[in-house]
Amino acid sequence: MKTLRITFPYMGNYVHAFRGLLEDLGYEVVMPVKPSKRTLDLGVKYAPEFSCLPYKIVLGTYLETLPKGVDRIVTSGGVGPCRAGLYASLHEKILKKMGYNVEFIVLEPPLVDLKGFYKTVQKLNYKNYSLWYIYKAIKRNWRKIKALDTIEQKALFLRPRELKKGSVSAKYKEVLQYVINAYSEKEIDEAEQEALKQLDKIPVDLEKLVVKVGMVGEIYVLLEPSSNFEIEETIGHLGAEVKRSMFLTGWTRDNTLPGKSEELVSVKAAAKPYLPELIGGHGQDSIGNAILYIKQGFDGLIQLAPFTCIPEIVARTILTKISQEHNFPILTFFLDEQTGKAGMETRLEAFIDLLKRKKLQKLSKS
Amino acid sequence: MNAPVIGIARTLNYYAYYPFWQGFFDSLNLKTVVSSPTTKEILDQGVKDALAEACLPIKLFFGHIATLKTKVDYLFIPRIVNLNRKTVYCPKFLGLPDMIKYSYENLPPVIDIRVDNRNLKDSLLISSLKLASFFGFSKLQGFKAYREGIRRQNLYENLLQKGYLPVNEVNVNSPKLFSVKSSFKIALLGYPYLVYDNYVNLKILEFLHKNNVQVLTAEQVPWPIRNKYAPFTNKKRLFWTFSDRVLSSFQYFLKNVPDLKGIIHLTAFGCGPDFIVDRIMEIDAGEQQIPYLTLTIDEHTGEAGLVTRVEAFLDMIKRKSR
Repeated sequence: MKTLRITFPYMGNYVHAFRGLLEDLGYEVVMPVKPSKRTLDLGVKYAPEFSCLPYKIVLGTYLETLPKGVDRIVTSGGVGPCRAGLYASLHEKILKKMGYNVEFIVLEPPLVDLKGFYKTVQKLNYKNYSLWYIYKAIKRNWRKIKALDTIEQKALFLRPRELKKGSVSAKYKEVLQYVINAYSEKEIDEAEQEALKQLDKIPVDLEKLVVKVGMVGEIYVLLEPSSNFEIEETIGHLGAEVKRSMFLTGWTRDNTLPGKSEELVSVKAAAKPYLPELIGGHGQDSIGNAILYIKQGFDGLIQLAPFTCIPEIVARTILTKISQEHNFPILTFFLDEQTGKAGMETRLEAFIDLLKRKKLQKLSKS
Repeated sequence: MNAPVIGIARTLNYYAYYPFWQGFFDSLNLKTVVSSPTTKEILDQGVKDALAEACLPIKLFFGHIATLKTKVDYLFIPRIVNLNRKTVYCPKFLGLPDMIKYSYENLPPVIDIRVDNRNLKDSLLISSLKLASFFGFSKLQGFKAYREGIRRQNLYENLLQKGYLPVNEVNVNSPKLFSVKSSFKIALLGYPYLVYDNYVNLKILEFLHKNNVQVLTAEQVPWPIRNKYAPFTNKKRLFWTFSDRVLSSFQYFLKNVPDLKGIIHLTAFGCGPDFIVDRIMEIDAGEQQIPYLTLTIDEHTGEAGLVTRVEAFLDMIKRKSR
């Protein structure tokens, strides 16, 4: 049987776990290129004007990757009311119109339609591996995703405290490779331990005054650094610790397994007084997490949203009130292809400065 | 004590579901006030009050609420989630009462009852009974009011299917404007709060009327028929009720109106779902070689510019068919 060539949208470090899983399923993986200016330009050229930034980046990624020869694209679906649930359908239509004959495999949330999910997985499993084999492959790569998340969180903690600017980012990039190159669960375990050990060796100042910033918003712009101009790195270098509200591990668990994790339940509960309705995307999560961050004593919040993102617009309207009521600084970035890194950095600098001054005032009073 | 006055905005759900609520409140002898038809001042106010990134229809809604809030005892902003058991409303509709509540100070109480026909607890009937009991009426009175609402809503939907175009005003008892019947048929597709609001649509309905064009709108295709035309690819349908309505009626017109001359998509700046709707229609209409025009309206769009484009579109069609 011919080995099929497959690709998928680029999303943070996770692409390495996706690659591992698909290779285990017998595919030749055509790795999507890390999104660049060229990717976005391509997306902007062929996507509808009012589509959101993630839509444009993903379309651009496909257009960069497809000329290399691709039989299949695997991506996520969704049941709404966020637009992202229809992106694959529209991407497919636009690509067909442009003459690309590529088969889309869209993974819908299994909780909504278990039978449909099983059928999709069987289609993806074109080499007919046993369910046990697939289970093991998923388990192994899931372990990899968890390791990638753990290391990233460590880097987010260390970055604002590093003594030499840039040392964490450099080391992080290096140790990430350990995990990327590991295959078995045992190897991943060891790679993770080694990576954390190496990161711990970086000289840091644990006594330094560091402000804590929560980060909420739409999942793609949160998880794909090229879509947000590596905002977390910038914030870290400004001397603030970022706590991101979403990692793929938590998100996937809540969308695939029955029963919700404790975090998710409390996020929804926290959002309820302000926004009782699930409005799709992560609008309700943005509100809930904001409240939780306030309770946990964070110094400020950053909301990342693609321009025209409906759930985040609803959330922003309500966050304004929450910010007033709790005297809690919130900065929102609506990201589109016009957003520039320099402008963003200036706004971040001013924001982090404000948080630091507020914190010092509070400390001197007490 | 005087009977309370309930304020309703003349936008968004107004052009779709007003007859139900009017019938309901009338039956209970409750006084309602509808904001005046959209004006420049209303839109300007909304632009000022709403988040800059919000879409035009939401800004418009803010503007209408701003004119109502000092004149009424209650603001009626029901959270309509689902009525047809298949699709939900745009996320901005779902968060509407919250956006309003957290954006204005000193608001009269907002009635934000939830309607979701997918579950019994929040179905239109149960929510209507709750609403009636909130105003001190019995379940029986509430049920009668619900029945009256449904009666008027059905009347209204029948009128729409026959070609009634409710310009600025939804009036079941003395419907005024009917579209001309003509062999020059144009589908004017868009959400009811754009198509039927004479300020927002920049009088395009009047213009087409004057030019003897028969206007086909999404509301003219009954739900059971539309439902069959809903899926577009992957057997998926659009999630949002009004978008689903536009796209499915589009598919119906494309396949069932042989003398369809062209399609105009009326859309608003910043509309989230519409980029999907628009691109699908553009591609499909292109494949059938049906002329297709997108008109995007924002707070700066002028009537003259828009009319020129529609004129050019009609001219192009006439040239083509000669």
